[in-house]
Amino acid sequence: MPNRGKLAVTAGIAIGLIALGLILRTGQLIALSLPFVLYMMVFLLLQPSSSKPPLEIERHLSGTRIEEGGKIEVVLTVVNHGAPIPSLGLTENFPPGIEVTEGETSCLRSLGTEERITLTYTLRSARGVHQLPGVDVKIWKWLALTQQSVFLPHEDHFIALPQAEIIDDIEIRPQRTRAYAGMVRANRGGSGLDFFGCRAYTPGDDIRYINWRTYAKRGELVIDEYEQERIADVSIILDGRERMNTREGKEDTFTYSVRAAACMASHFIDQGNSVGLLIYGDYINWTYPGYGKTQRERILEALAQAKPGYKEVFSDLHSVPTRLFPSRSQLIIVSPLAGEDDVEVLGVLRARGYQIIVIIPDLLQVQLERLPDDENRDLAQKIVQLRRNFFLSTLTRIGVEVLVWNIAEPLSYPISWGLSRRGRRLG
Amino acid sequence: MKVYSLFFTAFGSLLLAGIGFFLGLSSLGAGGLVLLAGWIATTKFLNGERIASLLLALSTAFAVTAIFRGGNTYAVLGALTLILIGWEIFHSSLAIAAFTKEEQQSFAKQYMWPMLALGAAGMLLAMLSLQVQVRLTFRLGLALGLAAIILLGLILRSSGGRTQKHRRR
Repeated sequence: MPNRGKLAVTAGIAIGLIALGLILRTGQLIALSLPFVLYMMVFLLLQPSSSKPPLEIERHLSGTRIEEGGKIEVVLTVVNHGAPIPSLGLTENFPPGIEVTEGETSCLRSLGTEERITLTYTLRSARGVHQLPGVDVKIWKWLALTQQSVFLPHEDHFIALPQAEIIDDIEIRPQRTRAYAGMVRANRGGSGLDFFGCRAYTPGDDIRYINWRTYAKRGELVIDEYEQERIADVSIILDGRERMNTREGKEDTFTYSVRAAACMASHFIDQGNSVGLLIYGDYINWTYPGYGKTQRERILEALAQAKPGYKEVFSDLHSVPTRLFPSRSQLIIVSPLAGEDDVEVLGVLRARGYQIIVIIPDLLQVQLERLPDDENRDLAQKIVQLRRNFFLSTLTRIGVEVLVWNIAEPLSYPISWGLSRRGRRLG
Repeated sequence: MKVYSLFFTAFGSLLLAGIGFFLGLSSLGAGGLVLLAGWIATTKFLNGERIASLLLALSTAFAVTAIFRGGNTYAVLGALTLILIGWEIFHSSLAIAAFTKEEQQSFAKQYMWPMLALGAAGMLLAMLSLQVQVRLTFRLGLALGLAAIILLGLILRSSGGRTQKHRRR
């Protein structure tokens, strides 16, 4: 109870007793009020000052960028530059998403002049940009009747980036690639590793590529061509529509969608491609395409801050701004697609020449595990699977590659089997 | 620290109940026992500051009734002082609930004796006042009543002003 409340209660009782004593002319009631009166007087004498206590706060974080679920060590130091404090209570404030794994985040003790208190603790945080806002301080003077509660602001930020798994090489075949050498097969003859075709020799061609067997058979100079490997434009679309975000207990599909997007972005940037990110949900959050480590950090930061949102205008995929994506490039859509409207939009994108991979985080297994094992569950599973199979076959018919990711497994498993070169060869 | 609070409030309530039964007023005695149950519930389970304040007001009402019914003033005074100390400790215990057990114990040790001394001083003051005979005329009564009301107003104003300043900040 704040000081005011305590004072009001005791003052009310004391004055009530005095008034009753006076009205009824009973001195014993007035005597009964005296412990309350004395309490009030001492209380008023020890009222805390309204000025902020002369406490200096320092906070040292072991890092400002960690991976989702990673740990960060914090050292909080408070120095008293004023008069000795008989009792000082310190409590560090934490926003949601932060968990203390080790150490103490509060303390209650006396603090002399120029004396310091040091709290060391370790935090584990969920994905996101986190702010440590400051420290709650409570000061009790002699008798501890009154308490001064002050919030001392001292902001520190750190960012927890989404987890990005290491995955197998994903084979993509966009219709258009960039001019620079990379890892994506460009569907053009030239220098490369995989045989592409033959053509007639033209002066200036490297004689090392002359096909001598054909020359022996026909007497014509023919050049072997290999498929060029170049870098490509890859745009990742993260579906942040709230209505698509399925929740089951503490799990939600959006968290896994973010991880999948982070994984894809890291992978394609590591291969030297130009990667952009569109987070589609509350608003259009577009990270311009770029290369290299800086771009990866940019994308991971954007993903760290991503939240699902709801806007009527973005309720379906019709509002995806296709002009942001380089024409005939590779699109990777991470979304738990559900509606017929979404299929229609994907069909339009395919018709415009985009190559599309859809990654669908799937909570079905997690949901089924939590249901009682009976006929109803089996029936529900069958209905869901039939509906999904129909949906996936529609997507496959329009030329979209679909990868259903059971979130109980690492993402690298379905990628190894479904999207990697090795997986595709194995069928 | 709640143990100390419960000790004082329970002891005070039991004393009030005892006074009631001693006077042959079973309703007053039962009221004291209900108070005891209320304090136990508030301290152990409810942790409600407002309920504690309500119980303090109820205890005062029982004490007033006991005095009107001829109860021993010193005993009633002692009971009420104990409940007041327990109420204050209860509030402190809520304020430090977030800290570790060791820190709470250290805090309790630091403040228990001064609190007891304050309670004893209040009781002594009351006992001394019972020895003083003042002839209460209508004018003196009116003046004291007005002074009490003005004092209450000043207290509430000063504490309210401070709270508003804090809020503005």
